[in-house]
Amino acid sequence: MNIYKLSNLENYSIKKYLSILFTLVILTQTAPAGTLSTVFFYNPESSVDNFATLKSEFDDYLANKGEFTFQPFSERNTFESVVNDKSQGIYLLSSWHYAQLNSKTPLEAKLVGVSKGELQQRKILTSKDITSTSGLSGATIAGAGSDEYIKGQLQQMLGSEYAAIIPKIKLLSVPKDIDALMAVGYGVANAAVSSETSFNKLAMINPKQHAQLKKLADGEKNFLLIAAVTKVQKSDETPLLKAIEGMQGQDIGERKLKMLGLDGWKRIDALDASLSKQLR
Amino acid sequence: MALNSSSAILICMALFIARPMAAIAENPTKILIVNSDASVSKYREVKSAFTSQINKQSVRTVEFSIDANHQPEQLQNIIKSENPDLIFSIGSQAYQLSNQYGETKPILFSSAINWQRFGHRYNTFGIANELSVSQELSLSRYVLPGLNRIGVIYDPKFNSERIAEARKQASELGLTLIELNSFDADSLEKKVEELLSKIDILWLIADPSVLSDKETVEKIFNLSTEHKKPIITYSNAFMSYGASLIIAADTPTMGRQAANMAQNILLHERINELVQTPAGSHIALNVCQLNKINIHYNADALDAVNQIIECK
Repeated sequence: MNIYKLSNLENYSIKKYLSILFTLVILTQTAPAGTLSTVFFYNPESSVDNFATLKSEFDDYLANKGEFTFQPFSERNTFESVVNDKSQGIYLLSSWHYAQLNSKTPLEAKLVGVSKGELQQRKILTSKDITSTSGLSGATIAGAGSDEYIKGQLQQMLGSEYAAIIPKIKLLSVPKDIDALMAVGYGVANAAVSSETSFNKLAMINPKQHAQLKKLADGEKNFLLIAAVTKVQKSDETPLLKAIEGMQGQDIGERKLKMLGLDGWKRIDALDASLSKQLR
Repeated sequence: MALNSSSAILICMALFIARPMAAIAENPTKILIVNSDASVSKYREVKSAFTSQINKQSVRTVEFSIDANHQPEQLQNIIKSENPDLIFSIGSQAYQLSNQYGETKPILFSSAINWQRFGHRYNTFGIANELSVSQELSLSRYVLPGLNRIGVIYDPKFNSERIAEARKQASELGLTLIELNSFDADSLEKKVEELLSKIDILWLIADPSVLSDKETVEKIFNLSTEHKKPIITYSNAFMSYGASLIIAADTPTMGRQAANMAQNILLHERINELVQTPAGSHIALNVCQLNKINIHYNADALDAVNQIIECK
C-alpha cells in the first residue's frame, strides 16, 4: 500500500485554500450576526395538516440560502406568543390574521403573496339548496380553517342584518376549500365558505357539482399571504427576505411556494398607494 | 346493575359543558363513546376531534375502550348503568358490539371498515370510513390532470356496487373506466399487462381478491412502473410499493362530522344522510415515483396536498 505524505508547503497551501473556501462559504451562505434567521408560518385559512412536509421542503430551500429555518405552527396561540415575545423572525400570515395581530403587536408588511397575477382574493358563500341567506338558520356550513376564521368570514359576508343567524349555524371545519365545496355536493353541509378561486377550480375538478352551487353572498377582497416583521425588531431582515422573495423565478422555489397557494411575491413598497395603505 | 371495580375504571371521563340551547341545558344528555382500541392513533384522532366539537354543547360523555384487559361483555353493564342517549362507536369492533348490546339506543359510528356488512337499524347513523368514488376520482383528476383512461381491477363479488357507482361518476367527470374483473392467480399478470396497455392510470381499490397477498400487490406495482403508469390508491400502506397518489379520508374531520351529527340526533333534527361520506380529504403525492415514470402533476394543486414524497 502506498502512503503519500504531504510536504509542509503542500499541507500549508491546502489548509490555506480550505480556510479561504470555508470563509467564502460562510460569507455567502450564513446569515451574519444580527440578522433574522427564522420564517414563522401560521395560516388560519387552511387546515391542511402538511406541517411536516412544509418544514422539510422550506428548510431544504432555505438551508441553501444561509443559516435560515422554517417553523410552521398549527396553533394560533403558540404562533402569537412567538410574535409577542418579539422573536427575531419573518412572519408569514394571512391578511385576516395580520389585521388582528397588528392592533396588538405592531407589524410591518414587507411582501404580499401573488397567485395567477392577483394579490387579493374574495371569500364567497355558496349553496345547492338554500336560495337566500335567510335560509341559513340551523344550516351546517363547511369551510377550511379555524371556526373563528370561518365565523369571521360569515359575519363579514352576511353583515349585521343577519347577525342573529350566526349562532344558529353549525360549522364544519374541513382541511381545504375544495373539501368544503364538495361537502355541499354530497349533502354533508348545506353551504360552503370558500375563496372565489377555489369555486372556479371546482368547475375543472367536478363540473356537475360546480353547476349545482349558487352564490349566496360574498365578502370583501383580502390580500393573500403576507410576509411581515415586528416593528420593534432591530435586526436586519434583508437577507432572509431576499431568500423568500427569491423563491419565485426558479423551479425549486416556485414549487415550495405553490404549497402555500402562491406563485410569487410582490414588495409592499412596489404596490399602488391605495393598496399598500390597507396594510398599515 | 352496580358497576364492579374494573368496570368503574373503564369510565374514564365525564364532562359537563354549558350548552347554549336552553332546552338541552335543562335536560343534559349523555353520550357513551365506545372505542375499539384506544391505542390506535386514527381512533384517538376521531375521538379527540369529536369531544372538542361536542364539548361546545351541554353533553356528558362517558368512554369505554375495548382492549385486551376488558371483556367486551362489560359494555352491556355500562350501557345499562349509564343509560346513554346515544352511543358513539369508533372502529368496527365497537360498532359490532354496540349493535349487539345497545338495545334500542341510537348508534352513531365512524372508522368502521365496510360498515354495510354489520347490518343497519332504523336509528343507526354514521360517518363512512372511505371517501366517495366521486371524491376520489375528482381529486385524482385535480392532482393528476389529463389521465382520463382509468383502469380498475376488482372482484364483482366484493365491489360490483362500488364499480357501478364509479362508472356513473367517471362518465359525469368525462373519464373512461376500463375494468378487469375476471382473473385468477395464473392469469393475473398477463391480464394486468393488457389492462396497463389501454389505460393512463391504475386505480387500486380495497378488494380482497386483488390484494390477496404481498406478492400479488408487488407484482401489480412492478408491472405498473414498467409500463410507466401511475397508481392511485386509498392507503399510505401502498406508498412504499410505489403508489403515485393516495387519497384518503381526513380523520379529524370525521370526528367533527360525527359531533355535528350527534347534536342533530340528540335534538331530533332532520338528518338527510344517515351515513355521511367523509367531508375532508388527506392527499399524499409521490413526486419521486411520478418523476421516475415521467408523469406530470398539477403544481397548482400542491396547496391541497398533505404529504409530498421526494426521492431520498
